[in-house]
Amino acid sequence: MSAGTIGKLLKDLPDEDHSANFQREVPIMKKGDHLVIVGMGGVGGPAAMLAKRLMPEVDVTVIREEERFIVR
Amino acid sequence: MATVDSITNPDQMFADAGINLVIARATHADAEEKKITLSDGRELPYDKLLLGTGASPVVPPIEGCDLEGVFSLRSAPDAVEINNFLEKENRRKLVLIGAGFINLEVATLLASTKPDHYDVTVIELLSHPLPLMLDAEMAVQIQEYLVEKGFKMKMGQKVVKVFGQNGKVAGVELATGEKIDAEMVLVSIGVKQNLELAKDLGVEIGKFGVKVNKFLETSVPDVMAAGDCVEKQHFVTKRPVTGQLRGPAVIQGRLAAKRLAGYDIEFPGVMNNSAVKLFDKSIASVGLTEELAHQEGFETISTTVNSRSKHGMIPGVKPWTLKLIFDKESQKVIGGQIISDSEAPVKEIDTVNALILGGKTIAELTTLMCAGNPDCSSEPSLEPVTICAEQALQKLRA
Repeated sequence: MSAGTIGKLLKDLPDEDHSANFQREVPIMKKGDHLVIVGMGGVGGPAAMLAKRLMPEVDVTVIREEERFIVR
Repeated sequence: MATVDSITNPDQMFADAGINLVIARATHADAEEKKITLSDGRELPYDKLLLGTGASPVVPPIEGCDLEGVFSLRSAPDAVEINNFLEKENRRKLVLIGAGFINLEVATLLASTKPDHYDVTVIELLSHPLPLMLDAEMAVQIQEYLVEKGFKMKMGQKVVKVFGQNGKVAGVELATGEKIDAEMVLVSIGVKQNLELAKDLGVEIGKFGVKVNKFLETSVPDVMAAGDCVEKQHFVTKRPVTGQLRGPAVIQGRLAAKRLAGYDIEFPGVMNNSAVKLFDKSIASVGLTEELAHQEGFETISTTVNSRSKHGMIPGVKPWTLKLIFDKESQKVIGGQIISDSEAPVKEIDTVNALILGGKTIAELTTLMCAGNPDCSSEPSLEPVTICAEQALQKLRA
């Protein structure tokens, strides 16, 4: 059976949403809450800057192992 | 070549924004006590935690990958180390294992910096370069271009051994028995997620990383995750993928911040949007390649159109090529690839990206109207998205 045929069979399976379905309330951080971000690659820097801008009353800490932050 | 400092954002930017910056390794995470332990022994409590722990290069299980002169590239210090090694040892013979965009960008940058100095051999297990971005008939143009530039392109070849002399790399051996001399080897065949903290926390982990919902929340309350360490969903196929690119990482990081501030915005999935520049060729892709689409079970229609960067009479006009891939059943566009002799047209891939996100069909693409100017775009009659769609219409009737 070719890869294309296998793929066709897979495609014919019922449409399934493969994303995880963890149910959560929309979180809203409060004044004095601690947001800790681990890592400062593509995620950490932009997340920290926007989190602080949107929630100036929240304490934002980024933990970074590298000497520099490089992602713009 | 740019220095590390010239491409680095200063830490003062974070301090000025009121962000606490801790430079240390996070060695342990405890979901019950909601705290992070650092390499210097300190403990940081959290109310909400965002994991952006990234990924690390995969080193293949090939004998000799631990020899001096064998490198992988992930971070700025890696680049400095490679550059220092080449300069100090005056190395000329470079072998690159993997023909993805990292290796090819490094090779072309080095060759541009010192023309006629380096002897470059690129070895790829798959049949053509940039296999995640381009289909074979597009990639062969790049392969021939790099050969013209003096690269030896060994596609469809497997490295079975890296051999050395006095602890230093001396060459690689292929499955065919061929041996290639090397004074430096750069290995770039992919990355694996950094999951140590995720495992500490007990979050659910899938085949391609930490499992998250569409709001980037993990299975553990108050713990979110984003970027290379996270398993993503492909926008077109809805299947789990790695999606380890800078674009999704940045967008997911900012989306996590918005979620924590109370916004209710879902992550749409990834489409492997990527662009690379190799000497004077600019290349970009989005969505599924036709090859991958077939593997995923799509019956496709594809069309390829040559266009130009400016109106034909304008000095400096350069050629560029667009390939669009459509799902024959739904007639929706599901992928696009661009090869261009100037930089500007590659950003038209973002138009293709938007068209895929919008679920646009062949018929709808035939009426796409674009901004145009003799100095900035092709003639409207050569706008390749509409022409690709018109050709696809004809193929549908054939």
